[in-house]
Amino acid sequence: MAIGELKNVAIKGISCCLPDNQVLNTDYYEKFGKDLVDKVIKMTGINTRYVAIEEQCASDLAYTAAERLIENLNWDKDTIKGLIFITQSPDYRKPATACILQYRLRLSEYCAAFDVNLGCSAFVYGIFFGSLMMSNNDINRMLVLIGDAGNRYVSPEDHSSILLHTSAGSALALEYDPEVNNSIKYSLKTDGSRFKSLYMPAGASRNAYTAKKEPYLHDDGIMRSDYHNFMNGLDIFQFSITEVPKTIKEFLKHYQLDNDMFDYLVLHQPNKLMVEKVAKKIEFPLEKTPINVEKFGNCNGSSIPLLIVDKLKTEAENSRIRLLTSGFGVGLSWGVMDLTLEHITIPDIIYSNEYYTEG
Amino acid sequence: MNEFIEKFKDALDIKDEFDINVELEKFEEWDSMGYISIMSLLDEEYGKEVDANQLKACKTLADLYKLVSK
Repeated sequence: MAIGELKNVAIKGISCCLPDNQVLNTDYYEKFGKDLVDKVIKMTGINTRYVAIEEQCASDLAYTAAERLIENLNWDKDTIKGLIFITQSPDYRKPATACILQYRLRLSEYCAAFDVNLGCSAFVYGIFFGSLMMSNNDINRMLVLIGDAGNRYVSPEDHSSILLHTSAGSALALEYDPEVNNSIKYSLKTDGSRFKSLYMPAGASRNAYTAKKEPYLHDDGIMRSDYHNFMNGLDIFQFSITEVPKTIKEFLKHYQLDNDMFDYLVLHQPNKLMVEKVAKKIEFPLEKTPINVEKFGNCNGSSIPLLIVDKLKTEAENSRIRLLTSGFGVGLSWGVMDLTLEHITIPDIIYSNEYYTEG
Repeated sequence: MNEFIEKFKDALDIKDEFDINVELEKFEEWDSMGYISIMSLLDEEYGKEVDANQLKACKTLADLYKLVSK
């Protein structure tokens, strides 16, 4: 089992950046018809979303989140020895966007930087990687950046996806700290057999010579090209309400933990129904399960950081909170974590349309 | 069984009257979002975890009822 404990790591700060471009789902009445849009809103709970402007990449959002966090933490940039960028919307096929971010953030050359291709499980994986990188060498400070511009790859005709996604970037600041008593416990799981439940058929090496650039009618009645995001919503829903609760229960049992020990259940926010279902199935009180997907849409890997910034900022800044957290989705990849936040730095949510002009 | 029919109607927000032998295709609500609502209903009210194929294989409401009464 990929289950274990990460020691001597403190989360020092979390920040989030969204495009300064709010979209209302009711704006799609004309395109998809009022009945269909209202049905999607009712089922997902999603009313408003934030969509990147054309020039804006996921890395721009993550960059802005990182700059603000470094500034608020008052960190000397030369002390940051590691940068991970977790994204499925990189700037280029190569190089790794993390290399560009190292330069844009003016971090030292003495900095390990690489990308990780994961989506909704990014938060738990980010803390896992970041902590491991600090466990056995002289890296004492790390930035884990997460960013996605999910709506960029969705067919404009795809009501099953376009009404859900928000572009978002987030930054986590991690520090090696031998004084930290609480270990971060985690469990990570993967089921690649179901990768076609949520994927983009073209755009990389596979299918490169046969992929169709022009949209065509799919079995689900939706026009999309092979370069568009495909999601089998029903499969993803089934996975989320069965495997995720199962893994959380397994994890709690393994470490002899109880729901009562946690202040909050902090879940990835794909839609309201799924979040509530997962909470109910593990019998976690709904009043301790914050939800903000109705205001922000599905922010992929930045959902969990955004939920913390939006709903738990005051407590995480001024006291100590213990979170049971889980990210799940594309891969299929998912993980659970027992994470304590204590007196961390959380800037307010940033709204920005800035983008990199040297790209 | 009547209770099941009522729950099915509630989940899909259907007002019509019908019996257990009704064909599911007849309902425009029996679409991808409808599947999700029913998957959620079976899971929550009957503790049955079904997958997409099991749901889509159901032709009538009676077929669906078989999934919960198994």
